[in-house]
Parts: sequence; structure tokens; C-alpha cells
Amino acid sequence: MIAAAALPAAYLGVLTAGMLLRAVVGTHPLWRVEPVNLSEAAALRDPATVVRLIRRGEDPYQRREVRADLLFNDRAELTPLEAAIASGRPEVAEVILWSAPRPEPAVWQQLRCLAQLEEDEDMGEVLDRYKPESAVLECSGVTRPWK
Amino acid sequence: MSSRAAVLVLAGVLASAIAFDLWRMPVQPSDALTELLDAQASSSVATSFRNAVGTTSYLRPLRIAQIKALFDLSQGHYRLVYRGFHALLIVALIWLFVRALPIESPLDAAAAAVALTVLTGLHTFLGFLREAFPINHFLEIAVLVLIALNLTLSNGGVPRAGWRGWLIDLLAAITFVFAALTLESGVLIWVVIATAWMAGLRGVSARGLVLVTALLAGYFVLRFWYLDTGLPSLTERTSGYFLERLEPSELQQRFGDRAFVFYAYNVVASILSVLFSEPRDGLFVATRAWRGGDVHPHAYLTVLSSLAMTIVMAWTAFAWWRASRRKRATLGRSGRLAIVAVVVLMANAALSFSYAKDDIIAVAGVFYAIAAFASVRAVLEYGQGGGFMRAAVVSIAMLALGSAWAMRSSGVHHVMNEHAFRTRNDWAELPIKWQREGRWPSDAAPRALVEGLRDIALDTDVPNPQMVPEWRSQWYGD
Repeated sequence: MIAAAALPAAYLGVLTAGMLLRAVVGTHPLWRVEPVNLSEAAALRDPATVVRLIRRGEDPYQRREVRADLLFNDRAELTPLEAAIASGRPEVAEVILWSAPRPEPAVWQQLRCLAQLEEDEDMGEVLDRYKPESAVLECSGVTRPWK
Repeated sequence: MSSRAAVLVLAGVLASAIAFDLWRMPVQPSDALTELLDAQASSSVATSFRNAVGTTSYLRPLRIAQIKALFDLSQGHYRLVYRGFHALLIVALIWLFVRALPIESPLDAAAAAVALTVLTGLHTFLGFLREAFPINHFLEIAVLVLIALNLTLSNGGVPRAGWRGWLIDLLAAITFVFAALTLESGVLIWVVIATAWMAGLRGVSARGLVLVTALLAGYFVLRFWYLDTGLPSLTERTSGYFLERLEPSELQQRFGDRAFVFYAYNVVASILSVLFSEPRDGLFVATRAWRGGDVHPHAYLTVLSSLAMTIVMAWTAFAWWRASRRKRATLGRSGRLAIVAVVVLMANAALSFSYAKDDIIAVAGVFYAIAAFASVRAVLEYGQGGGFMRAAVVSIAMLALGSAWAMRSSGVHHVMNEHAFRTRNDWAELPIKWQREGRWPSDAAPRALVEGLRDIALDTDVPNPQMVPEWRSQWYGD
């Protein structure tokens, strides 16, 4: 009876001790960080990692692979801003635009049109705040780069 | 290994794992950053203390003075000092908790092991971990309250003669002053000392009780007469009310002319929250989820495990009451601790009158775990006193109850993980928000402080909760 009462706590203690031992060698099971690229970080609503990767010199306008099941069922090739639009995260898009050089007018136009296609007004407002001076909004022929 | 040593090993493992989580968590920007900037701007600890004395609604000068003291101590190593202090406090809390329990046999050890999972698994415990302003003062108060409890238990709960008795009484008085000038819930120190004394735990002598009572009276005179600090108003913050969250304007509109209704709700909601893990922050979240047909296993786990433990407590109280009527039985130490726990729950709930928040009621959560120790111990004794069938039923019930609480306790790490992720992201977005709101510091020194803290947060590796198995958020919540 005493063993029955103590068993769950003791089991928890053993599991926790194991977790601590793994922490000593840097493989804590709950604090293990899965590496992601800039587009994946944007898709996964992780603005802090986005900033860190941009600070390390990664190009925020380059397309990268977003693994299957992270954002869509299939893998996709997206820029971080396209990933932010696809996942509907205007705050992530703003962090990218704030941390990176302003986009080229053509790039901005493509992104703004994607936000329009997604009917995401908040995203549109964020992009409008970072609009290059010579950019115009002309969306004919713009399609989503994801399926 | 003795029973006490075995429990201390378990406590040490659980405390170390939580301390590790705390160490990995960035200092939070909301609430904490303004305090840190104020500490930087203040010329000394004494100035911070003096400036905090004249504020309205709250009298918490030592809270501000402590933030400043740690800021000066850090010499730029903010994470080391603030996170280190937080981790130290959590280790102290768990050690003082175990120290207060009478563990002399394997049966006591089993009850203490369950109580440890209740302490760390109860939702109010998360208030000790998530929030930090940049010191978690709720945790600090809980540690101070446990110090007071341990003082009442010193020398077997009997007053010491000579200078040692004076020393314990003096320590009780210092603990009270420190706690009361840090947060309002610091007055729970008096509640613990007075109730423990009345229940026969008199490590703090009658003289000590008189001294602390005089200090309590002095606190009220200082606060309500000399400084005229007053109390928080209805419109200070949003609050949960049954199934909805009300904004300050809505609170004023609904309860402006009958605030006592809202205050009574908060007191009752706080008691229910500790006993049944529902409502949370004044809001009946599990009920709302159930009505919406979207109940996660986490809601069942928390509410049912709390309900079961509270039923065990009620059964124990009834059994004690019946035994005391029949045999004039005297109450043991665990029974006396349970009495203190009940009074602390009531007093802590009363202090939550202005708004219901899990953090404020967190001290009562610690005492709920103490009551769990007393109850589980009583149930195990009951099980031992009967035949095979009774022992089998008690064993199965204890295994189920212990498993549910161990599951809740293991969820602490997941919640800390999620919180660290959100906090780190808050830092990423902070400059954008502050610049838009015109709050971004223009002077070099505060700007360097904010940027330095942000760099530390962004450099911390935090796993993304979206990449962990879904069952964790289903069972552990967030």
C-alpha cells in the first residue's frame, strides 16, 4: 500500500533524474532544439529565431525548403516572408521587415499581392508600413508559390 | 537510507529539474523591463525604497528595493543574478516544504512523496515559475511563509528558553516585516504564526506572537492611516468572472455601486481554484471548454485529480472530527499542519478579494499540498488498520491518485518550455512595439540595457512548442 502511493512519485523522480543527467551532457530531452532554416522559423511562428538567423547573415529574401508537415502536407520552397504570409503571422512578417533591408519594389509587390490573395488585412497593413517608395500595387497574374 | 533522506533526494531531483528550466528561461520583458529600467535610473537601494513608499493602492517598498539591490549586484550579469535568484528561491521553497513535514517512517515518506507532486503539480505552482518582475515576489512570499511555518515547528513546536527563544521570535518578526513590505500577501506570515500557535505549534512563543501581532497592527496604521495608501480599485485590471473576462470599464459598469459582489466572487473563486483547479484566474475555463465541446485531457486531469484529493481531505477531516468526539483523541503534527493549511487557504482567498489570480492564491496552493500530506498519511494509516480488501482498495486508489498528480507535476517542464518560447519571442518583437508606442529609450544607458537583455534572450536556445509531440499540449496545457 505504501509502495502503491509512493510509486508514481518515485517513477517521476527517476525520469526527472535521467532528464537532468542528459542535461549535463547537453541532450536534455525537453530543451533539445530542432534546427530550422529561416523560412521554417517564419512558418513556425518563431520570430526570435528569425531575428537570430538574420543577424547571422542569412538572406531574408531567399527561398528555402519548408519541410513537409511543418506548414503544408507537402514540402514547399518559400521565402521567410512568403512563409509568414502562408501561416498568417503578420507579427513575424514585421520582425523580418524590421530586421532586414527594405524589399525591392518587385518583391514587395509580390508579397503585398499574396497578402491580398489571402485576404489578410493585418498582413497588408504591415507590408504597407515597409513599402518601398517606387513600389506600386498591381496584382494581375500573381499566384501563390505554394499549392 | 532514512525515510526523510529518501524524500529529500526526490525533492532535490524535482527542484533541480525546475531550477534548470528557470535557468533556461529568458528574463521576461513584460512587467520586468520597466522595473529594471527604473532600477538602473535609481541612484541607490535606499532611494528606490523611499520612492516606493509614497505610491497609491500598494505598499511594496521592499519589492522595488530588492530589484534595485539585485540590479546593482549583477554588474551587468542580469540573467545570472535574476534567474539564479529565481532558481535559488524554488529550491528553498521545496526544501522548506519538506522540512516542515513530519517524516519519520516509510508511510510518512510515501505521503510526502505524493505531497511533493501535489506541490509541483498544482496549477498555482506555475505562478511561481512563469512570472518574474524580474523577481517572482509570489514565490518569495511563499518561501517567507514557509520559513515562518518552520519557525513555529522548531524545537518540536515548543518554545525554547533563553536567547534561542528570543532569536526565533526575532526571526519571525523580521520575516513578517520583510514579507509585508514586499507584497500584501506577506501578512499571511502573521496568519501562519497565530494559527500554528493556537493549534499547539509554538516554536514561535507567545512573546513572538505578540511581537508579530504588534507589527501587523503597525503595518495597518502605516498603510491606512499614516501613508493613506489605500486599496486597489475595481478598474486596475481585467478579471475573470464566471465564463467571461471583464475589462476594467465593464467591471466598473457592472459592480461600481456594489463592489462587494465582485469581491465575494473573487474570494470564493480563489478557494474553489485551490480545491478544484477550477476556476483559473477567476474564469471557469474547463466549464467553458466543456460547454464549447472542446475539452482537452488536461482539463479532465487537473479537475478530477484536484476533486479526488479534496475528497480525500474532506474524508480525513470528517474522520478526525469523529475520532475526536469519540475518543477525545489528540491531534498529531500533521493534523495541526492541516488546520494551519485550512486557515491559510481562507486568509489567502480573503486577500485575493480585489481580483482573482492564480499567482495571488499560490501560497494557499503550497498549504494545499501540506494538507494533502496529512490526508494521504491518514488514508494510508486507515488502510493499514483493516483487512486485505481495505488495503487493496486503498492501494488502488492511492496508485491512481498518485499517478494523476505525478502526471501533473511532470507537465511543469512543458509549460516552462512554452513560456520560455513566448518570452523569447516577446523580446524579438519588443523594439518594434516600443518604438511604435514611443517608449523606446532615447538615452544610451537604458537603450544598452534593453538591447543587452534582448541579445541574451535571442541567444538562448529554446525549442519550438510546435515541433514537440501534440500529446504534450493536450495533457499538460500551456
